[in-house]
Amino acid sequence: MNRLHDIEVYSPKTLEEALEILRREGDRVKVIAGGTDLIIQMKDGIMPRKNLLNIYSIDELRYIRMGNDSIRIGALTSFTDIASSALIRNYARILADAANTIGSIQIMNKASIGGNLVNASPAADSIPPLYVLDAVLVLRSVEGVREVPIQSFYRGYKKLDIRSDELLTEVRVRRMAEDEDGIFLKHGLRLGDAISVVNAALLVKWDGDDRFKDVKIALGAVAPTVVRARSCEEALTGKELNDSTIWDAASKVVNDISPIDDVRGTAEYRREMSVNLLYIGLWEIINKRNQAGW
Amino acid sequence: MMQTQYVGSPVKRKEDPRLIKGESTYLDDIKLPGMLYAAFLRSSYPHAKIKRIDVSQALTLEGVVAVYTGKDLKDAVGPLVVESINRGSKVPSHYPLAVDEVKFVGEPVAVVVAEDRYVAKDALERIIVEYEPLPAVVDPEKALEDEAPKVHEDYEDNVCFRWKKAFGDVEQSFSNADEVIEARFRIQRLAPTAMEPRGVVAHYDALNRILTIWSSTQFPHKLRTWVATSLNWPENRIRVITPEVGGGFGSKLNHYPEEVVIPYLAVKLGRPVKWFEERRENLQATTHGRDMIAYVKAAVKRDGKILGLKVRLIADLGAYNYVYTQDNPLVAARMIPGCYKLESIELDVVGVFTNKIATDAYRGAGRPEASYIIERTVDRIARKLGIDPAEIRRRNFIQPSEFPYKTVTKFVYDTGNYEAALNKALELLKYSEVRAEQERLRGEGRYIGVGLSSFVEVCNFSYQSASVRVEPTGKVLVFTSTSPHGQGEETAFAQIVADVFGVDMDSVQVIHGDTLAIPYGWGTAGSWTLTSGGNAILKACKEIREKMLKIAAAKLEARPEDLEMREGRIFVKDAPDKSLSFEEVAGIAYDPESIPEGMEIGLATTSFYVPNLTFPFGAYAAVVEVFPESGEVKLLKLVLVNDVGKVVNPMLVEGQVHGGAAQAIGQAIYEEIAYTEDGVLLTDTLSEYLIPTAVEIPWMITDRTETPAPNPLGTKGVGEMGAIGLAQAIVNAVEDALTPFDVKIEDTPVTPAYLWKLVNAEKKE
Amino acid sequence: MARKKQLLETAETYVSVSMKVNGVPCSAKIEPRTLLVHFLRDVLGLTGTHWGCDTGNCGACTVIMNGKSVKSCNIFAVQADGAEIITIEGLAKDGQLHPIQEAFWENHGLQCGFCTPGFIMQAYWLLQQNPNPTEEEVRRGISGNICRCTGYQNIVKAILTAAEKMKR
Repeated sequence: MNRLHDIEVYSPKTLEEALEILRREGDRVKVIAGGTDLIIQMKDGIMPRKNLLNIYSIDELRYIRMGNDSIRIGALTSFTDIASSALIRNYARILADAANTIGSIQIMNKASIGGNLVNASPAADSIPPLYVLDAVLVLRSVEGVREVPIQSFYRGYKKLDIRSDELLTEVRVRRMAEDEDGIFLKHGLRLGDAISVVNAALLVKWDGDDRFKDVKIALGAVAPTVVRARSCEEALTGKELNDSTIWDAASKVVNDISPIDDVRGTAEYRREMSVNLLYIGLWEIINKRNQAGW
Repeated sequence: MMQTQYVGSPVKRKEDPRLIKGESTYLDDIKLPGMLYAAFLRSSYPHAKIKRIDVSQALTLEGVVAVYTGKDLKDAVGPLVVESINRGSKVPSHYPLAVDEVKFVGEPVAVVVAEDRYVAKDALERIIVEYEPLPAVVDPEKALEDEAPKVHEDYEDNVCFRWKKAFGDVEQSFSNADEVIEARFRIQRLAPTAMEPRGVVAHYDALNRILTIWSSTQFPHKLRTWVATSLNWPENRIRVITPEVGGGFGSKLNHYPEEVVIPYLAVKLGRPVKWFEERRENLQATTHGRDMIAYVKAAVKRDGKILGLKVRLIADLGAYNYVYTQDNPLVAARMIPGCYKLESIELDVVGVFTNKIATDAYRGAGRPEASYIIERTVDRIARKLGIDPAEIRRRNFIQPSEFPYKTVTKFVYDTGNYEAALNKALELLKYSEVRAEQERLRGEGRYIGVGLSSFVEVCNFSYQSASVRVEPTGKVLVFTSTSPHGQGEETAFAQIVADVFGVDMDSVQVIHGDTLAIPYGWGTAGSWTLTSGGNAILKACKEIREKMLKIAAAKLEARPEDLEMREGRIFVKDAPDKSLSFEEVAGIAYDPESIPEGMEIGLATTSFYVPNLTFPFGAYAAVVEVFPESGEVKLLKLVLVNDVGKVVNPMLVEGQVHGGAAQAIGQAIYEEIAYTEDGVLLTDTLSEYLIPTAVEIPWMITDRTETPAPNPLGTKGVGEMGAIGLAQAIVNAVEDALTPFDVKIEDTPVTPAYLWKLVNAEKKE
Repeated sequence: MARKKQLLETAETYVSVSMKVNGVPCSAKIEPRTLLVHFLRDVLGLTGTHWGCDTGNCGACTVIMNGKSVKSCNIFAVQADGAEIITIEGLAKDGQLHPIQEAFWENHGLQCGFCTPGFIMQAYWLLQQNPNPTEEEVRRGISGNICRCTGYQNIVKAILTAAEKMKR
């Protein structure tokens, strides 16, 4: 564990203490929650040498609660808890589904949703569902509270709208309504414990049984941040749904993404898989609606 | 109640109690008083001159005891030993720490010794190395081009060795052919990736002048010889001990830089020193496997008879030869004929230098490559000629009556019955049903495929020693020069010994991994432990048994041939009341007052067993579903029929097949050691080098046929079978599934991106 | 040795951690960057938990922390301050093997044994959450642990056998 000689670790037990340390130390300190990604990066030397603010013991940041039309999730909540939460499975299903795929069970037990968001890997599986669920991130500091919609939170590759004295304390997602359906899809190189080649979250609002009143689609691992597939969304909203319109709409996703070549796949492959993933996802949503016996 | 026949029975392992409790001692568990920790600084360049190394900053770090570079060690620690040297080959001198130039990513350039492992790693950061990058080459075919960057300045090109040989009349075969089928196959570079990385601890006892080396190695005796050579140290003053070793698969049977540097440091610093590898180092600088390209031409008749082959094999050897680097390509070449009767074969093998760590043994060591090449070729031929893949194999098999069979490449296969194994596999597969299902699903736009692999392999290369002692209280000690690390021979050998002496397995203790206690032998690799080690033990036990029967005969006033040894007693067959216990006879053997006149005291003997090569074989089948839209492959069914001769412990045999098969699945679909064109290693963590997890491996159906081998145990070898036989069955199945698309799969792994590209390249035309 | 002691005494950045490991309270002064796996192995001498990779993939370091299975290579010891940890050494009681350990032995669920403690601890957690898993659930449950020797088949068998045993 090189490069970490002489670091200080602060381990506050309350949020108040943590915020005070952040006010005092600001940039000199790096927040560590579960640490499942951070520790690996530190071993690699990717992280600059900083003292650590270990917030893992701040239990008051672990919760899943009902709000007005929303579900409020404490930033330290583990993915195991999110995946198994009855509240989330009933009202924000796609987030629970994504939580189940972020990694092995041991990782799910320790990694936190807040950590995943702040680590900001473009391939993070929790982020696309949060996009389509209109998530709002609650940032606290000694000064007060800021609420930032998730789409404004990410300004570029690993560039976040968060000040050095702020701590992400809560993620608030919209509750899915009766006439809404969603799906989370992940394409990786192996079934167990894989980093996504492409992932996607889709959320639709039905207009009757055969059209979408509203469509939200977010994709990961195909751009420096998670992106909304606005061209697809436009192509689907209010349109008749048949094989040709769905394929057309899915194909438009290439306008919204900018994938790169890397060890997991080429840009070309990712473009094609994005189209496929959306096509598959849309049909699954439609088929589920039809099977529901309407 | 004592079991009367252990051999052949699935006895629970003696190894397990300590392992399931976490009580055993692996290399990193070793803690000696005053022990220091070493860390190696490694090159991140594939090829560069070392202009300058400044270690002064590192030396000032609190807790650092010493820092050495290649220049510091050059005169004291000699080049590493290479044993496999083909005629006319070039063997570059390989110093443990790079001196003037680095030639592969991960090559060590300096070593730090410190009070604890974290400080040692900290110090690495403070070493300043000034590199002058040089052009690197990582593609073996590019390395053979005229203008290619040279890996070794002193050589005129990047060729390590060439071997070209024709057996039989190749031109005649090709002129008689109805068709010539051509193919290119690329078998990728793999990392053996034992779950326990490598490590070394060394301790020098200055009082007794013994240098003790603990290494996570498969070859304790050979390592001792190699270290004696490199350090110029008397072999009988080195003791190599293997602690519990967490897997090897061929990556731990070598002569590594750390295995000479750490002992040298222990002597120099007068304190024990430990080094334990990190996984990144393991993926960079522990030897890799496979990495061959084959160009095949097959001369065939319309009825499927294969007359002859022309094969050009390009082997990517890496920058330096390690001990057995030059072996794999030649073993591969000579095993290409496989299970078939060929009239002729032309083999043109070239071993190429590239800027990578060496390839060397990796589970199968040349035989997976051989069976991959021939079995993929046979399926291509079958498809071209419109003959069923099982049928075409039958038409070319060596027949049971023809054994021992001398192949066209001059191996003598001892025993075999390839058709019986194939038929059994097809039966378990429900072959005709699968074909019908394939047809039906194709109509629905779904693509399933069947792939076969009929293969034979060669093993049992090396001699072993066995020292057996029956002690005065009747307990048995067995010292074996083999070095099992998961294969279970502490159990299997005890089964053999218990049967010979008619005693309980609990009275038998098998010891391995200490060169001080055990006479010379070859450790564990090449599927040889059970057969070579076991036969050596059998030989020694039989000698002692004979002596014990003589003693008992004298005491019981019978002839030795009338006596039986069973259930802990030695008794007259027709008069079982006339008996002595095993312990009693043992006690007599050590008692000068009781031992019969003229007989020598003691029950202890050492035997060496030199094996003949033996040829296990098998027939595997894979059923897959391929999804052309994404390129994903799903394994639906795997059938593995093995013939490894007689079997001592069927449970252990099956376990070996499972493990090898899982590695073959990795080879076929998931694993690849990948470099950029400039030589940067992309896959240096387990996030990028994808080893199959439990969800990638389906339930495997295994079975056996049994064609005994002509050695006293009747066994052959099983350790590498799974890794040798399965990859091509899977790839054949994928190609079969994609028949409507008419794709030719050249490369492995068949990643989704690769398959998708093949299918769509087809579509675009 | 003296030098190390000197390091320990003068370092201002050493922190105290205490936790319960296999029911036994332990505490020590360590560098904050000490990983839990090294704390268990090097400081407490519990070498049954193994270390096989740098990136939290192999699972050989799996232990139970506050009732959940975690990879101890991926967690600082300071994050485990006040926690209850169970390692492989804590499973057998009074010389009596845990049913999971027995099941691994009976089913040849291990070969070299290096990954085994990690699998056994993961199985321990898995069966607590789901005492009656299907084969698929077992495979998914152990997909964060890598074995290079067994091909997983006998491990799956062992865990299903353990589930049976533990029902009684």
